[in-house]
Amino acid sequence: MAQFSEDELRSQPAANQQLQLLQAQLADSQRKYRQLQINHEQTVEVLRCQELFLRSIYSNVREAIFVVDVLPDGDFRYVGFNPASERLTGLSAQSVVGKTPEDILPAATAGAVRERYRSCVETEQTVEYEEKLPFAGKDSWWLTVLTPLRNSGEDIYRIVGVSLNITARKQIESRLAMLNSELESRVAARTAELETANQAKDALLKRERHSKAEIEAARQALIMSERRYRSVVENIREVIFQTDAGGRWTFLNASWQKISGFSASESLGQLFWQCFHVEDQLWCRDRLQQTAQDLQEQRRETRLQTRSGEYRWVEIDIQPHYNEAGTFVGAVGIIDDISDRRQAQEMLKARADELTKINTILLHTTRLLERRNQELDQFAYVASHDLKAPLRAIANLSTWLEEDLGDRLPEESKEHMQLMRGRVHRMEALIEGLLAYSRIGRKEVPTETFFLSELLEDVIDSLAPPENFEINLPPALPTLTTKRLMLGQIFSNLISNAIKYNDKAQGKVDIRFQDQGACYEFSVSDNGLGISPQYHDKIFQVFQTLEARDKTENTGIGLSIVKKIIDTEGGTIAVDSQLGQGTTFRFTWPR
Amino acid sequence: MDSRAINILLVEDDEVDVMNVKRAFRKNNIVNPLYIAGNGLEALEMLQGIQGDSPLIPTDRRLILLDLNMPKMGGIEFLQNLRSAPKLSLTPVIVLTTSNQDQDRVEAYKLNVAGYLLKPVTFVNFAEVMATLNKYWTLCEMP
Repeated sequence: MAQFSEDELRSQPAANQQLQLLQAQLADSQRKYRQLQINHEQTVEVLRCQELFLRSIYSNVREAIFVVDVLPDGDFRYVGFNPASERLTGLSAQSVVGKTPEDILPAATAGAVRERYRSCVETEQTVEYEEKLPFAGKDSWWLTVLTPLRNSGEDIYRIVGVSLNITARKQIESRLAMLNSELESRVAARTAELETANQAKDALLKRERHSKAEIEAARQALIMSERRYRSVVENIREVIFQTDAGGRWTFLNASWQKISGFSASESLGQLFWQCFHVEDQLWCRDRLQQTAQDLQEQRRETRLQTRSGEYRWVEIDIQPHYNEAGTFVGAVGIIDDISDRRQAQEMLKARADELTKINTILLHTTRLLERRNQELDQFAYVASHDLKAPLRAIANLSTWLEEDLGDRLPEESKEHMQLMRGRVHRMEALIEGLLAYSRIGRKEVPTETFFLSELLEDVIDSLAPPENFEINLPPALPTLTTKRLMLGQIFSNLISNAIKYNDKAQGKVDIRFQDQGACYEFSVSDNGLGISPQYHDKIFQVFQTLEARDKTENTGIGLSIVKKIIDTEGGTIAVDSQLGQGTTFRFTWPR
Repeated sequence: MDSRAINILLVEDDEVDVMNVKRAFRKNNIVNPLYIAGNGLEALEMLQGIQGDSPLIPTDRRLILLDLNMPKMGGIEFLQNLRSAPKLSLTPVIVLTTSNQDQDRVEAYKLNVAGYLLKPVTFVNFAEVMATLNKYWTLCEMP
């Protein structure tokens, strides 16, 4: 309305100027002026039509259109409300003209509206915004566009506002927002579900991977196991075999060739019993049949004919083999080379036979020995009486001769008589010694429990050592359980030797004892004449003496008896001596 | 001769041993009747008499000195016969032998000998032993 008339006005100064410039050419211009007047009237008419058109739009659009005057002091006054505005706000156009925002709106909202208007004026730009306004007691949403209007002086004097009610859109928007948030929450929930599902999936995948690994491991283990078994089957010393139901070899491991000489491929398909000794074949064949029927394990030592034609002892062990349906499909088993065992058995038997034979011989020998012993006993008896009787007679007769002849016998003859009786004594001693020596080991000597100290004291007492002799016993001596008689005889011989062969003014004998666990060790040491090492072996031989017998009337049997006793009882004796430095006899005595 | 004199039977095959005993008797003036048998068989005959004849040795106060090793019948066998003969079983016997074998000694004592004397090769005081023996048995009451 007013806006359009002013546009018209704005073009007038330019026309006026042109008019002045054209005054000189007045005549021409007069015509042109009139023409212009006509044009102006035509223009006014066009403008009026345009104004009408625009007013009808202004009045009939659904959008609220309002006009606000911008006062020089900056205040804002409403000057126009189109019918849509009236309808939408519930305020009549008349009632708002000349009113400020505060007059028609609550204070808070009015402030905001005023701020928008100011912003439009200050920026000199069209502003667009959404706002919430309370009209007719109801909140409504508006999309408002403010456009500044300038006068001819280029000052902004008015604002034209167009407001579109967007409450419904806003509601939809808010619903949308709600729906959106709902959707989002659903999406979130769904995402969470998905996440869970994913995790489950991952877990499943992991499990699957794990089971795959397990399966792989199991497979590997199986392969290893198979390989192991194969290696066992191939490397085992025994033959492992399989036959079909008819008894033909269907499997033979590597040992077959080692034992039989035949390669597996040569033998496969052959009847298994045919490789055994004729005497064993029937058994083998029967065994297959029995195996099929009786379900029994069968084992037998048989002879396997090798490729070279020799027979080798083997042990065969046959078991029935069934398929999964339980049908007998053949035999499985083991063949073991027992030729070594057989050989050992045969050797053992031969050894046993030999032993039996030896035993028989031994028994015979023992019997012979017993008889010999009896004979020896008899001999000893005879010797002790029959050999001694003449001696006694000689001794007696020589004595009687001396007695009867008296002074008629020359001194020399008397001396001869003495010598003769001396030899008789020696002969008797020799016989006694020989008898004693032969008795050792032939006679059962009882085992007694006794104090060693008592035994030694008895022995020393019976030897009656001279006054100048000192015999030292160890302070602590054990109680022994052994052949007292034998031990006594040993000590008696050793101590008497020590006394006999001593040239010192103060003779000394030391007896020592040591428990060595399995045996006792005794020693008898003297400070006597000593024995040169070259004679150390000789002294233990029968009838060996180191001095002329005339001097000591020694038989040389004592140490032989000692050695024989110790040997018989399982001990040892050794001498430690140098000529002139005393002698130590050391011997062990088994417990 | 004292009525209590003992009739001694020496059973000994060795002539020198017999002489030994005789010399010992003589040395100690032992005048007891001394009978000599060369072996067990002879001794039994002398103690029992042959085929119903009265024995050579008086039947009372008899003492036998017995050697063990003799031909035909040894001392142990003789003792067995003696102990099993009813009339002779109580006769005291002293063994006078060279055998120091345990077996002989045990056997002899089992057959109830009154003594067991060993004859060493040289028996210097054999005479004294004989004297003691005689004195002892003279004191003894006979069975």
